[in-house]
Amino acid sequence: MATVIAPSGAPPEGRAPYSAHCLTWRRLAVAAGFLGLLKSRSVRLLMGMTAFGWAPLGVTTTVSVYFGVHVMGFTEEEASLVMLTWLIAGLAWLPLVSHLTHRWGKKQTYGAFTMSWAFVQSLFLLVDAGDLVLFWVLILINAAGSMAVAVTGWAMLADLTDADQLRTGGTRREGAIYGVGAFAQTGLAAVAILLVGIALSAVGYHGGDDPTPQLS
Amino acid sequence: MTIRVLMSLGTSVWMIPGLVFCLRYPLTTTHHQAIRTCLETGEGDRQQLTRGL
Repeated sequence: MATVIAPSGAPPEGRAPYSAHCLTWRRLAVAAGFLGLLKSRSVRLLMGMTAFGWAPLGVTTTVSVYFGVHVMGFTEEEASLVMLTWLIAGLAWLPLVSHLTHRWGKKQTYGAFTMSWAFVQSLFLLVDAGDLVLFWVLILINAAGSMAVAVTGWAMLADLTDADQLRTGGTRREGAIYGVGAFAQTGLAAVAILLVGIALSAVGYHGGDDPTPQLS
Repeated sequence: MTIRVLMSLGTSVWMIPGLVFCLRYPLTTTHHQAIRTCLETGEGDRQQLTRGL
């Protein structure tokens, strides 16, 4: 006799409980539904955009504290404030992001801000201990790119849900789409942070250590 | 120097795949508006609207 499993796979009221066998198939069907999403080219591309829009954010948040302390000569508290300033500056850019999204479209805004973010981020190579003005200017401009990518990425997921509904003949799968998007974001950000950690360890940076004597 | 490279180029390099995906992404705002209209009113060629998605 089949085992009855409850409550996670409880059937609608008035219907017989699902058997373990039936429940396994239902779970497999859900998993297949997630995989089925990735058959769509636009879903795959947007997941890539979402993930690779978030990964630089993970890298920046990890490295900025080291950058503040070991390059700019800030205390750890001051270095932590850099990220707070960056976040607040990002919020200040939101009206412009919103305006450009309506004027150019989300895809174009994402592309333009990612390009400008990559360019501005590359300029951190020129910043040295005494370049406080350049450092803070770059932080303030840089915040625009990260904010725009975050906002337009999620907005495009909403549009994709509509396109997916039309493609599948009426089935709305926003939960699955947002779930895969969040998974892609956090998964790739974790990989990026892991690689940064490996790179930092490889050159002698360890938690709580002052790397200066080892590096000089 | 390593920290500076990680903060600049080491971060920027992660944005390149996102840009490539963005260039190839087929759904524009105009296209999405047509899809919304089709969903709400039933107007428009469904097959044409979903082609390439």
